[in-house]
This record gives sequence, structure tokens and C-alpha cells, in this order.
Amino acid sequence: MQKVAVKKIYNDLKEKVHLALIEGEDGLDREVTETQVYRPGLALAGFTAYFPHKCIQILGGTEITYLESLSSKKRNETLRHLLSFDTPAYIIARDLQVPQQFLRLAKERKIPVMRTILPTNTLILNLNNYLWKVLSAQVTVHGTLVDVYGIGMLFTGDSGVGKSECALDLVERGHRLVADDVVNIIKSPEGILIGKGSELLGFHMEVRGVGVINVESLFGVRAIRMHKRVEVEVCLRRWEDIIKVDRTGLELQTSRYLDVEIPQIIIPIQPGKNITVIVEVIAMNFMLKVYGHDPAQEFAQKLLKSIQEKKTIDFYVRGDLE
Amino acid sequence: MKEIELVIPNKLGIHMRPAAMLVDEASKYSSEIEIEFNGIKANAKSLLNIVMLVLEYKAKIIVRAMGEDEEKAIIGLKTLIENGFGEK
Repeated sequence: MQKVAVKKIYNDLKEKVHLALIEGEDGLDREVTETQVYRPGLALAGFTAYFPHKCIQILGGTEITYLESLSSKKRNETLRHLLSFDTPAYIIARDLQVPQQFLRLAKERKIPVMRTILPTNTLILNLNNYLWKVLSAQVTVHGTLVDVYGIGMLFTGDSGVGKSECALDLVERGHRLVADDVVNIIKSPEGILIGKGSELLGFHMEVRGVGVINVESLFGVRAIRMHKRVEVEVCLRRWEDIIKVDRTGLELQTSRYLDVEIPQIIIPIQPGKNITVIVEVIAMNFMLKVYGHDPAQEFAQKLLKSIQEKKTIDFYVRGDLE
Repeated sequence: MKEIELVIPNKLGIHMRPAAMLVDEASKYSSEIEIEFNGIKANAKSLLNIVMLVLEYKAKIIVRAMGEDEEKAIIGLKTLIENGFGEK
């Protein structure tokens, strides 16, 4: 299971979510494993038979007003019970004031308490967004990810088969590099694969014979992209390693990452063959299919119809015998 | 040069799938291979050439091979076609 320390959450969101740590510095090493956050309304009311205490707890207007409405004796009891759970952190929204008792207990129990000026729903939205990004299932793929006409294409294949060179060629033609060599793929809550590069590598690329280059400084900001949905896998294979290639475009092969299936296209590599153009065609063809127009299927249907009608079609390829 | 007369045995004729099988088989040999139907010739190693012939059930075709492995090529293609491409 993926986990993230409260300290990292605090550091990453300090500015964006305007977080300020007000208590429990000693507890910053606590780890979060849940992508959900929770508002402990029912727990405050005393119902803790089901209390997702492993989630980050959010205290908003409802919770704070409820606490204020209690008699001090009852409030102490409630807070003592609430803070007896091992919660990774509390975040208070709308810059609300929490009872001193709460902060004292949090310090005692070493539970970090943070505060933000953001409204509760905005805070929850931001946190959820951030948490699924850092906590979702992740896989690292040896390959190259390029945005071609808005389609995220993942190039895979053996080392030295020409993935980086292909990406470079695509960048030259105005497409955008997302990651080279190492692609980190995560699955979004909607089941979409999102790929990005490693933070250390950035947009550096190793080109055999040239060495390490920086695509961003060479080609400028138009040549790069931070992350991209992974939509098609293009597998580059040496001609001699190929067992079978799809000639018709009717047999759809797929590959699987994090239980999400994406189409996989195997391209045989031969010297002097321009892969870049083929890749662009794959991207455009994929778009056509997304828009509900499958040229290979349509052609196959047309052919079947012609055979049935025993009619010779006069193709434009007719006189183009090889 | 070797040639053989064959009849298409499968009900659906040469649609995309059998055409692709035919091309895959023909591509295994170095010989030049052509298929003739109604006086029209097609290169057996080109998918669109083959489908252009629009070969229906019971169509009579001539398979012709020219090259070093022409005999093997004819046997290979004969077996594939006579077995009806795994169809009925």
C-alpha cells in the first residue's frame, strides 16, 4: 500500500492550500494511507463504532460550532474520546478557532493540527486531489511518453531499438515530450492512466552517440508536457523478433497497466523506415476510432458486401501493382 | 515458373481475414507470387491487391510463383486455400 508522511503533505500543500501548522510538530512523521478525508461529525456526537480514524480529519464550521455548543464538561469528554484514536492529522478550515483543550490533547498525543483559511469544501477537494495523486497505485515503465496530436503514446521496446530517437523526431515535428526512459504511471479514480516523468530526470534524454541532452532547453517550452493520459502503447520491435504483425487493423491487441487496458500496436523496425509518420498516423487513426469511425472495419464491411454482390470494385490501387 | 488452379472453398470468400492469411503465407517465400482471377492479376504479397480481386465462394483462381522456392510456395498456398482458411 502506498503511504505518505504528514510532513510531506504539509510541505507540498503549505502554499497552495495555505496550511499553517499550529500544534503537534512531533507527530509530522505520521503516515497517511487513505485517499479519503473525513469530517468527524458523528464521532463528535459519540458514535465511534464506525470511525475512519486513519483518514485525515477535517474540522469545519459544523464540527467547531457543535463543540462550542457543548458544556465544558461534555466537550472535554468528547475531545478526550476523539483524540484517543490514532489519527494522522487534523486540519481546521476557514481559520476557525478550536478549543484550547483540543490543542493540548493533540500536543500530548503528538497529532499534528493544521489550519487553513480555505472553506471546508475547497480544502477537501484540494486534499482529495493531492492524496489520490500521491497514494494511487503506481507503476514504472521503461519507455517513452509523447503527446502526439493530443494522444498520449507510450513507446516501449528493447533498449537501443530507437524509442528516444523516435521521440526526438516527433518533438522536431511539433509534438510534445512527457517522459523519456522512465515513465511513472498512476491510475486516477476514474480509471484513467496518467503518465509523467521522474522529477530527477526532468526532460533530459540520452541519445546514443551524443550523450545526455535537455529537450526543454533545446526545443523550448512548446516541446514538453508535464503529464499526459496514456492512451496507446506503441511497441517497437526489431523485424527479426516479430512473430506476427497485424496487417488488417481488425485485430486489436491490448496491454494492461494497473488493470487498465489500452490498445497496443506493434511496429516492426527496419533501417530506413520512417516510424515518425507511422506514429502520427496511429494517433490520428486512434482519434478517428474515438469519434466512432473505424476505417479498417468499414473497409472490411465494404469488401464483404462486394463479395456477396459478386461485384468487382474498381479500387484506386487497381493499376498500382507492385 | 509454377502455377496451379484452385477454387475458393469458404462461403464468405476472400474477405479481410483470409486475405491477410494469404499475404502472410505468400510473404514467407522469396519467389514472386501472383494470383489471377478473370484475367486480372494481383500480387499475392500485397493485401489490398488481393482484396481488389473480390474473390467469392467457388471463384476459380490461378496461383503462379516464379523464383527459387516456387514449388514450396505453391504447396504452402495450396494447403492454406484448400483448407478454407480455417473457415467453413
